[in-house]
Amino acid sequence: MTRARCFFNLALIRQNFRQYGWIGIIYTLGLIFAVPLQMFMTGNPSLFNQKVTSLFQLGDGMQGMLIVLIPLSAGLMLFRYLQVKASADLMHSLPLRREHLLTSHLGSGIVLVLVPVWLCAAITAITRPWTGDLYDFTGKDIWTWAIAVSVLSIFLFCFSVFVGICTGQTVLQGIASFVLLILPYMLMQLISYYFSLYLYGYPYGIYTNSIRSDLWSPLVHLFSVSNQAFEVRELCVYVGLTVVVVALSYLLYRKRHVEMAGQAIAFTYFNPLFKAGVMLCCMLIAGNYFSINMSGRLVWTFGGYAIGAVVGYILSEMVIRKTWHIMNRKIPLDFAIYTFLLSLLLYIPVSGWTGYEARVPDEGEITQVYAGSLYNLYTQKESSTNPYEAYSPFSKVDPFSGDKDYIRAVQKLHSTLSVIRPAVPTGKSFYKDSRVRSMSIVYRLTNGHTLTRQYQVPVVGFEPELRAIMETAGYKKSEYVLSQLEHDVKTMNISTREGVVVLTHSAEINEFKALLRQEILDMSYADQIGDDVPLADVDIPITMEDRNVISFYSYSILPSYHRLLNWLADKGYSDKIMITAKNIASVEIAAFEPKILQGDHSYYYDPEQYLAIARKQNRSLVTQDKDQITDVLKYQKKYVIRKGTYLVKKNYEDGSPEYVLMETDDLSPELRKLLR
Amino acid sequence: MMDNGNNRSSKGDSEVLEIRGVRKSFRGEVAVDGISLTVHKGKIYGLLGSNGAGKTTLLKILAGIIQPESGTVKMEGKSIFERPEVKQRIIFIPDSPAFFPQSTIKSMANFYRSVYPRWNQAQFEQLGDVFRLDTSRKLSRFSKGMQRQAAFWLSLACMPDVLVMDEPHDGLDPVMRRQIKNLLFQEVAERQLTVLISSHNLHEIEDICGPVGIMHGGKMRVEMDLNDLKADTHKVQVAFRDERHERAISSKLQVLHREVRGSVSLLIVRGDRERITAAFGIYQPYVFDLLPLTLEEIFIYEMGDAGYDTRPLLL
Repeated sequence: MTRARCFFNLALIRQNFRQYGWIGIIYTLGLIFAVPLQMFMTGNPSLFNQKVTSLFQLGDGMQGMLIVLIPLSAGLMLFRYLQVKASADLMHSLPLRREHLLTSHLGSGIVLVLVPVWLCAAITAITRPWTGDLYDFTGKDIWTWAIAVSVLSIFLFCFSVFVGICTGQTVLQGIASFVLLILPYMLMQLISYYFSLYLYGYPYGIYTNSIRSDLWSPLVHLFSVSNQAFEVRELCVYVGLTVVVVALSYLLYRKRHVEMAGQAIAFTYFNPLFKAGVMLCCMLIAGNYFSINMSGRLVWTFGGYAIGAVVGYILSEMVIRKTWHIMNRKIPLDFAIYTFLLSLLLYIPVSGWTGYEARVPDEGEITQVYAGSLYNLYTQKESSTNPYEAYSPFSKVDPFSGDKDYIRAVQKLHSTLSVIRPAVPTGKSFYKDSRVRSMSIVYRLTNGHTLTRQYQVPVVGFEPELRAIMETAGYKKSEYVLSQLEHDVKTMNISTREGVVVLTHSAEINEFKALLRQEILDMSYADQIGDDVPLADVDIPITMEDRNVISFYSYSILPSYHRLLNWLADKGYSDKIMITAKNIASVEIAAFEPKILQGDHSYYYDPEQYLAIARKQNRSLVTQDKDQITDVLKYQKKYVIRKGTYLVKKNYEDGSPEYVLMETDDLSPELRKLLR
Repeated sequence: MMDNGNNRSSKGDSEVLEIRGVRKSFRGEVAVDGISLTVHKGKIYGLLGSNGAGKTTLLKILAGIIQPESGTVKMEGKSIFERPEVKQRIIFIPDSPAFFPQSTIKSMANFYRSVYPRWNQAQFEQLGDVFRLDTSRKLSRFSKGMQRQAAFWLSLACMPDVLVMDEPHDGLDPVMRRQIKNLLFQEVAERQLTVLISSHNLHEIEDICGPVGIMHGGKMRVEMDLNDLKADTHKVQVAFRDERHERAISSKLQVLHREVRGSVSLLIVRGDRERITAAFGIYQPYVFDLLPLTLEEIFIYEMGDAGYDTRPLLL
């Protein structure tokens, strides 16, 4: 008997094909439906030819599902002999070494998942000329697709085999394979959320945005594979992982006891790992859940982690012992040890020992800095399968600045925050004073690293620090996306609810852009932090020629932009679009007073309801006086709920309402008298 | 009693299976506790034992399915576990035979033919006359007894040197039981097949086995040739002239069991016939009756000795 024949036992392989050939057939049919058949299937014959950068874009997610489910179930089926006592005895009484059993079963499985992939690739290649050029792709795309699907299918199959060797039940093998493949991604999410709760300044929003979830779980990636094809380095990682799990399978199979068929976990030394893993996940889930829903109340939060620990412990013990009667004398001590160690594991990273919260880099360490609320947009990655290179006003723009004053200002705010750690009003009180600035702080350091933090900064108490940052050009350039104004555009729209002015003349556009840019750069701190109602919006519309533009940033024209407003008036545009008293039929005014609501604060959030109540109590006033309306337009602020102010409802001539707010000081004496 | 193949082979045959100090536990419970056992070539060895005594575990260790924690299991001097060249000479038939799903006798035969190099197609076809099963019918549709026949048929065609059978008589009708018994004797006589049978059906064992081992609680309680065992243990009904005589007897002979029915005592005594008769003769009892024991009685008394006895039931 030659060595190869000995390792690949043909009789076993034949038997496997006879028994599980249907898996290959389903895979073939599924892939043919999801790929070549899709090229013929469209209800719209006039649809123009679509460029596809990857065959993964075909079949709307069906491919991903097939590539996950079929290889995983092939692993479950082919290695079911390990998990059923009778067949485990039968297989292991045969005159075959375990290496032969494993090699033969692995070989059969790999053939079962590979043949369909290459068959489908061949059919795609052959039928391509007849598809009516609905999709535009090359032979190279077929090769790339076939290689990627082969690598993934083999990896997923081998992974479920490895899990099968470690477990003793097919059901558990399936669940564990699935969970373990998603676990890295899930854990990242849970842990980063956990850090966001307990690490002051942890940039959760930036982190979750920047994390490539598809790189952390092949399943997450496969389920969204039509948006994002697999990269070469990713596939190389899966090839490496396949080698690792196969090697581990050979190693562990040699040590596996046949009588473990039917048990939960085949190697008792995995039990602690399993228990700790389940407990950790349950603690994070329950702890996070209760701290979100009970808004950080300490008892609930700790209760959440405790409940998670108990549930996780009971769950894992029940699975390991295959019974729910798990109570015995040793349990409390065992539970206490696990809980203590895991609590330590959770506590250490968020304790002060790591210095995470206190770390503010020295000025000498910083080369560039970013501060503002749009960091996610600047760092957003465009989808690689998108056939056109996507363009947004933020793409390829570096929002960082090396300006020393800017760096110093950011550093000053950062160090103040890290010491004071202001409480951010949450819940009800949030509406009383919503003036909180979301501030992402990112440093580029001399050692090449970046340091990222994210804070909610209450405006009150931090005016000097915020002013120092917000009045720098570096901040304004990135926060108000001035880079967009540097592009050549064919048209610009200046719009209000009363009309649109379209600028088309390039000289005029350039004049306008320069003015707008200057106005933004000259904005004071008060302009930025204030609640002035914008007078008009400025858009750069997307035309059919810019098929790759996916979004634009729209600017507001504030009442403080005097030069710009004068320019608009000189050109005669103001008269066309600016809202004046004649556009408004009437205004209705009522004071924001808790006594009006008589304790039911929920009506604060519904201005119409609030006014209705005030009207009943004769505390509201309606006026059609144009002078009064002009006054309102002059002093109006954005609508927020703040005690001691006035709610104003503007009724436009066309019948539509708009709600704004007025400070008591801005109310004309006549109105004030009437409202008394 | 039938003349079985064992009597024909002369004593001092080569040892085929040698088990030394084998131990195996499952999740802390000891199933096989330091068992040593030797089976000679061409013998039919009967493994008896209470339920849960560890018989099946021991057989699976012998078949190379389970690896013992300690001790050695050897066939003709070579260890069995993970040794294909040894395992192809041993066939294990479990208490409920397993086959591949959807398989037929024909497809299983094809599989065995390519896995067991000693497969004998002529033997397989000849045995078809004995078993008369439909070789193209799915094995899963066979009754339990038919499946057992199929397993037996396939096993014999593999031409093993050692056949290990766990409870082989369950579900077989008396005719088929006799057929299989005859086939076994034939194989033992013709090519010195060694057989290991575990059973709690004592009548079956009594008919075919030479050497017998009785297991209880993972340990081997008694191991001896059935004929010797019968010659060595006797049932005595006796009425002594003096109560003290009975105590005197107990110190001279090994009394396994004792029951008193009025003035007559029932004793199970170890020792050969002459010695027992002589020992009792000294006291000139009123009644003395020496009877041979059945295997069932031996089993029950041995188990009683091991603390596993029939308790009186109140119904």
